[in-house]
Amino acid sequence: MSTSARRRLLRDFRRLQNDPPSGVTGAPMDTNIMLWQAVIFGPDDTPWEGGTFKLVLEFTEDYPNKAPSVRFLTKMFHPNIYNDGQICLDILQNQWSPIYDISAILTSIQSLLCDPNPASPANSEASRLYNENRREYNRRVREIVEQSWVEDES
Amino acid sequence: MQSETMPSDDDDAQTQDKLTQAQLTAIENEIKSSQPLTSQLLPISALLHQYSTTAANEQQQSAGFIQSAQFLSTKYTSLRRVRGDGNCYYRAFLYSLCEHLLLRNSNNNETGGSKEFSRIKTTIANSLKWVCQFGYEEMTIDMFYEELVELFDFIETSLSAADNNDKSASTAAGAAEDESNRNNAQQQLHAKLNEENSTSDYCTWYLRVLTAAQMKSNPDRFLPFLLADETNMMMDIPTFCSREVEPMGKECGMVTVAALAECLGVKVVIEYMDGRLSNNDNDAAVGGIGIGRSGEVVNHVFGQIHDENDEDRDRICLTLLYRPGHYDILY
Repeated sequence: MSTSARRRLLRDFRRLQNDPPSGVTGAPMDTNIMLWQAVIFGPDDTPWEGGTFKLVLEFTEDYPNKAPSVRFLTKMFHPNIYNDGQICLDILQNQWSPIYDISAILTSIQSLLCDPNPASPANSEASRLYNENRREYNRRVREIVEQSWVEDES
Repeated sequence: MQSETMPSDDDDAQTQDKLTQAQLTAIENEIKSSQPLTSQLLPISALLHQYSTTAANEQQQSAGFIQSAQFLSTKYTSLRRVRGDGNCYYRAFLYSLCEHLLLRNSNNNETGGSKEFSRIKTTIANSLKWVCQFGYEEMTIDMFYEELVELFDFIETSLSAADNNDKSASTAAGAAEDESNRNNAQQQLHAKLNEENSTSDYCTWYLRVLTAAQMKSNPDRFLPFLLADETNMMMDIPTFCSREVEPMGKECGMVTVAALAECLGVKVVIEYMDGRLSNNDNDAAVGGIGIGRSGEVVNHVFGQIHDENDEDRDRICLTLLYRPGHYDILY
């Protein structure tokens, strides 16, 4: 069935292919256009450099009037990412607007990696280390980066 | 792994977060199932009825509303309710605008009517390029734009059908047919604008983009409103737009009401019914926005052109009812 959500997702896909933002990729899984897998690469010159972080995006027929649900599959260590991979990001919650397409969602998450929002902690340990012991925080992030390669091979 | 030993607090917070989200979704669904996007036309007495049937202990609080409802019953005949989902201003604006264009043009073949239709249609047709100047991506918004353009095409088709009929309208049979075509077109419009997750939502959101672009195009005009409002302190126009205008479900304030009216060159009259009682003329002097003389409801006009030229007289004028946090359409 060609619903408006599906039409929009096809266009998002085309945009992602024709005008790919740097450091992110994404595509629908198998034959289901409502379910996407994406990868965000850790930005260079940051503790996240070299990491490959997998996410899954789930869309409903309300898209783009409603935000998709977005979750990291890769184990993360970040002030705004819950233990189960859910992300605390305003544009995915109450600041969602149909302006954002998949490219915009992925690049926003990418910039959240290096620029956490202290106002909405989702992982208190990561939050605390980020504020109080940046050295240790960076070490933990690099651990996560290395783990992301192992997960990749599995 | 260390990180797995720690986070019970975080899990609690997340659970809490999810519960809040679930509650919000439940409220949203409740509204969705109990209120159509836009209701059928109701007699204005429905307004008074709503307040006079409140429980006795709330009567005191609603006395001001009853007084206002009584006043409005003398001024208007009908009311159309709009779903209270935070998009009501934009949705009421859209519905009322389309209805006015449809009825005004087919009612009487006055040239001013069709001139106004063409003017608004052209403004909308040219708007995609215009809004893109203010940082919007054509790719992400053109679907919404096209929906509004198609809606105007639909109105135009209905109008030209009515036009053809006018040629035979001199006979009684022709006039009756004309009438029934008009009703048909109106019903089609109503059905179109009540389809869930479709035209109304898409156009409503595009009106949000137009509103935001209007504010961005003329910061000197709109920034003072933001600075005057304490809750918006320190917010610049782009930040305000991304928090309050661009997301669906964010209610519309005075400044956004004005921006949309000005963007499309449409006059919007809003009756402000805020439940305050007024018993004498002095209240008008000290009172707030919704208090007029002896129970009158104060209205405000947006999108008005100040020089009184002929064009102004032809303008579409939408009349809306404001009650705290909500807009409906008045007739």
